Amino acid sequence: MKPLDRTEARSQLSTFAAPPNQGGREPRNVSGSSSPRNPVRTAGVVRLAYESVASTLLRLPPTVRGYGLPIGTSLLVAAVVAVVEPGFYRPANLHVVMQQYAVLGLVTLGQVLVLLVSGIDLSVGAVMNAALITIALMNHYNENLLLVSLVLCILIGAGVGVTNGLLVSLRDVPPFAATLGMTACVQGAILVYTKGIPAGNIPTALRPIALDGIGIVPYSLLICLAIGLVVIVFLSRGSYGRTIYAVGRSAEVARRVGISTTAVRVSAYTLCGVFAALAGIILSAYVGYVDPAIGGTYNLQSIAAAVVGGVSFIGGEGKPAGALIGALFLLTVLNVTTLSSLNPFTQLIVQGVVMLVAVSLFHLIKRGSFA
Amino acid sequence: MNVERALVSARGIYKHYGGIRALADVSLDIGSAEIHALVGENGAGKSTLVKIMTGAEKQDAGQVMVDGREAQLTPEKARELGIGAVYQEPSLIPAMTVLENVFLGWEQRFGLGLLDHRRMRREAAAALDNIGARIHLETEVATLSVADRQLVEIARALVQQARVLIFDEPSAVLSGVELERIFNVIKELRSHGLGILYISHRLAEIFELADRATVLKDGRVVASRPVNELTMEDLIHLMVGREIGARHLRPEAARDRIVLEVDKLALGQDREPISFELHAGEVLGLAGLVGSGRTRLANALGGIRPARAGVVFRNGRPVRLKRPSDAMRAGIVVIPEDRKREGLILGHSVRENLALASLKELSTIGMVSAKAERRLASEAVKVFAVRPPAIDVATGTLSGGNQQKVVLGKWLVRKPSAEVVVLDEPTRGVDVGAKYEIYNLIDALVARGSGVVLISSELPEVIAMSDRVLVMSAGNIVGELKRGELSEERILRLAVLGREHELAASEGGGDAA
Amino acid sequence: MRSVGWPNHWVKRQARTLLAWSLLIFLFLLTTVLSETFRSPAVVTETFKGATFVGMAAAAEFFVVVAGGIDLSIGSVATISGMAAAVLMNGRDQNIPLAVAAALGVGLVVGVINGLLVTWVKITPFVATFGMLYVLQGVAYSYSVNPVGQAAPTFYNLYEDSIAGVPVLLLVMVGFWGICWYVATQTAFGKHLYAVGGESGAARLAGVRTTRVSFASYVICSVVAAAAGLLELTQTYVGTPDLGATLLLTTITAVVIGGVSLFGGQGSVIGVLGGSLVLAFLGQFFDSVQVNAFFQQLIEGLIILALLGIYRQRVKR
Repeated sequence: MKPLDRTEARSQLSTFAAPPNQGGREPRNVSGSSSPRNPVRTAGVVRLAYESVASTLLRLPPTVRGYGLPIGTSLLVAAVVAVVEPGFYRPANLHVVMQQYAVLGLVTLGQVLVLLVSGIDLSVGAVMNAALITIALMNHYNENLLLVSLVLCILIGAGVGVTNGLLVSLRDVPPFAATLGMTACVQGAILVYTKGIPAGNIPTALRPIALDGIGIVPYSLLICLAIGLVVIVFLSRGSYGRTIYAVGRSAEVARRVGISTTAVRVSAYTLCGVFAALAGIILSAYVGYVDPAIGGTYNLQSIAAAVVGGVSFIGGEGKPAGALIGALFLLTVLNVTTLSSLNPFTQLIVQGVVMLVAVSLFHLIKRGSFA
Repeated sequence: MNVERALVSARGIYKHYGGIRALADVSLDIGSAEIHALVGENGAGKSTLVKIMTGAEKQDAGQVMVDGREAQLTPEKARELGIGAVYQEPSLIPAMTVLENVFLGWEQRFGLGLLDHRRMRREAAAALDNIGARIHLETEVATLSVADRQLVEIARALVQQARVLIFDEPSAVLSGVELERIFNVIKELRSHGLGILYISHRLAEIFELADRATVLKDGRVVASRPVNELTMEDLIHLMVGREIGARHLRPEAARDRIVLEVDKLALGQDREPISFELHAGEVLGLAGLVGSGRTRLANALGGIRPARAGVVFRNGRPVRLKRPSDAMRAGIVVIPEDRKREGLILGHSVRENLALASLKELSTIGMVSAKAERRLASEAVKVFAVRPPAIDVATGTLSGGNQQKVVLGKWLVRKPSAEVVVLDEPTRGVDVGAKYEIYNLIDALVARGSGVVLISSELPEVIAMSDRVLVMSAGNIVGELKRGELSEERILRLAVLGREHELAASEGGGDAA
Repeated sequence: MRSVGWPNHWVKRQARTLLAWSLLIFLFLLTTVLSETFRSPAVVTETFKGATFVGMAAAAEFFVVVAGGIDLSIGSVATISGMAAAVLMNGRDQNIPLAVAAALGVGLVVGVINGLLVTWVKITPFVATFGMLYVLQGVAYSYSVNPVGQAAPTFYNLYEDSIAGVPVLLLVMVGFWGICWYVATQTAFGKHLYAVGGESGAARLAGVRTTRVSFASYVICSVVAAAAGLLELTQTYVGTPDLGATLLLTTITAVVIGGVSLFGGQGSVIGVLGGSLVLAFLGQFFDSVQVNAFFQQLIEGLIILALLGIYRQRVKR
């Protein structure tokens, strides 16, 4: 055994809790001059506010609850942010937030689909990494293969998704375990291909997707919102959406009306993989450098965003629009944390706390309402 | 039997679930060295009483006395006082061994939490020997037969020093030799001075086993007598006789066109294949006890759990019923028994539930037409008289009867309309008003030319609604009764005693006919 | 008479455990054949020592999984505990008791929080512990991105020390696995863990305090994971914030190889021990045939996916 080697490999292997990008690599604003805040205390206040209005909220129709809660909270957050961290609203910062949102929004949309069929996908981060590496590697060998590499990315995402879906629906594997194992495979394959030292660059031809746009709105955001719109419409109005919700809420009832629960589950995981691959493409266009662990935090971020947006882990509950708003909320909180804190790693804590608080609140509210 | 001699007795127990009365003024004594049978039809309140006497549920009024003293029962308290129960549903951990299960929650230990394996082994072996069970202590429960599992549960009660044992319808899950074994064990336990409460709705076994029988009907005790003062006729009389109220009789079906022909459908090992025909405009009642195979038959027809062999013909053509969509295509619809688990998505709105079975018809290029969906839902809500007549409320907020109407609506507003409709206990847990609306609906179905298979445990309902009744017992069809021959007693006799007895009775001079 | 059929039942129940150990023996033989260096007892001992950290973490995970839960925060608990201990020791022997207490205290606190989130707030286990994973990792990175602190000499010497020719670390492991085996098979609590994981409703009917049992499983898991982090310090000397990064996957792999059902209620301590040794020997095997270290994760991932696909996870009714 060679302990040193292992430690070295371990830092390469860190797939899950990879440190977020450190200062300087990611375009980021210099923070304003406000004092650091305690995210836990902020969350506590939000929680109190939540609980006091919980009973009122319960009387609202579900549609109002589904959208109203995240919108209301977001407006509240926007107002609070305007007071405590005005730097947030500077165009340059907003531009950054939009670029980041395009990535998180896409991953979250995929995650929502999987959550709706009572699953969870912990391999989105790995798929994003794979996309990044694929683009860089293919660019390294031949600079004219950009389009091919993009198609390959999406195929990888779809392949990962199909495998996840089949393991979960046909072999009865717990979703977290299947997707975690998948993460190991994908991340392992990346290591094997890159030998731990990622070669290649992100082709400059790709970068305008994230860097250019209309005004300060990057194309990537437009892509994300367009896909978001399609997902929202298909989930609320499409027959596919109906089958997703039916399978998530009661697979038995769905089966009895002739819906193939396997097909629905596999399709949800597949779409999630594809969206993650798209997000990976946009992410690589945005950051412009190669980091085989950059996608790691998107597992939690996408889940947290969905949960804040009212998507439940039980399945069949929640809306993609809510999740998109949840993503906005999460990103705002994270951005403000970054702006006002010297330590970039507070982000991790904030993400975790936001998710735990959100999911606890939903559980407590729910327990109050279902007697 | 007086209270002092009774080990456990119930005194004036009342219990309501929501607005529905489950038990009213029920009193019952279990004495030592006595087998006390509790009989009654499905829904008479037997299970509720068991739950109260084992502390699983709390009564609204009345007391449970143990050794003449009032006891506030919880499951732990009941066990401490020596009340054990053998349930139908699994109360053993399948992945654990017999020994572990016998002593679960009752582990014998030395200090430091160390288990006294030797002592537990000895006691469990003794208990199993006592009841003549030859089950290895290290066997995983998952690999045991249902009968052996019941023996393990009995052994568990014995090592916990139970003085009263409650058997919750063992005959619903056991048959033949296995049941005989349990009977012998029960008699053996009686000879050791235990008090036994034996729940059943199979009358024959009451006479074989019990010393005393208490009959429940609609949550009330209608009789409690020593078995030797009772005859089979008495018991049947006491159990039946529920009123369904006046209903106009539908004119008898023409029976000119066969819409469904079931040919030697094999539903399980050691079950005879099932064959019957269903005519257009006919209501075919399917009677039998719980566990007699009626739901299994329904699930086979709906492609939910395909049959092992056999052919089903629709309008003379054989159809494949491997999955639910096959049945839907073939125009066969099965309205499930458990509407909360199998029929409805309670979190969905009424509209979404109603549309679920018609998604294909409502969609163009993958998009559900909101207009068509609302039209369908509104129509269904009107036709099926769902109250409140709103289509956007969560289905879970409706009453049981209205939920049932939504289930019916979901399947019956589908176009093209199903020609074969199988209704599995359509009126269970439904209030009286909704019941009649469901009856009218059945009338409407046959009027439009559909064939209806009506599975029901409510005999008056089966008799009032059916043109013809098939009686099932132990997975087989044991008799067919035409409208003129229908009576609760005849159906019950077939369902309880099976075909052999009927044959024997008729050969012996037809004294029971 | 009662002993008739005994081996049969035992084999059936322990099939997956036996499989894990057969795999281990196979790997051992294979490595011995392929690699000359491996034939020296020193290398074998070293491999066993290498398996202590992962093995302990796998045992921690076992207690939660067998009771029907899951703890994804295990790696970050080990990380924080290791960092806290390293910082508090600061290279001085007299600080060892304080550091050990603090490290285990971290585990206790996290375990209580996880347990409360799951049993009281009733959050799905993997969600609660997944959130916790990031919170803890954030705390670790916020404190330092680079290795911090220093283990005390007496402490890190444990790695090399031996008593009567037997390495201390091995003695620790034997004692540890002995206790785990004892708790899981020889105590009522152990039986209750299996019962709650197997069929929690039936367990409740039988009088098992199911909430308490699953709460306890989380506390045990976190405390043992913290102990694992502490133990790893003997090898790394310093507290590293990415110590536990891949630990989660490795422990789950070890647990699955060991034949534990991820739905709970099935599996054995001995199997998990086998599973963790398989992983250690697999690493050794790769080294012996000079497989790039980068392949290891891929192989590990493929193994876990294959096993998940093959082993039926749900207990048949």
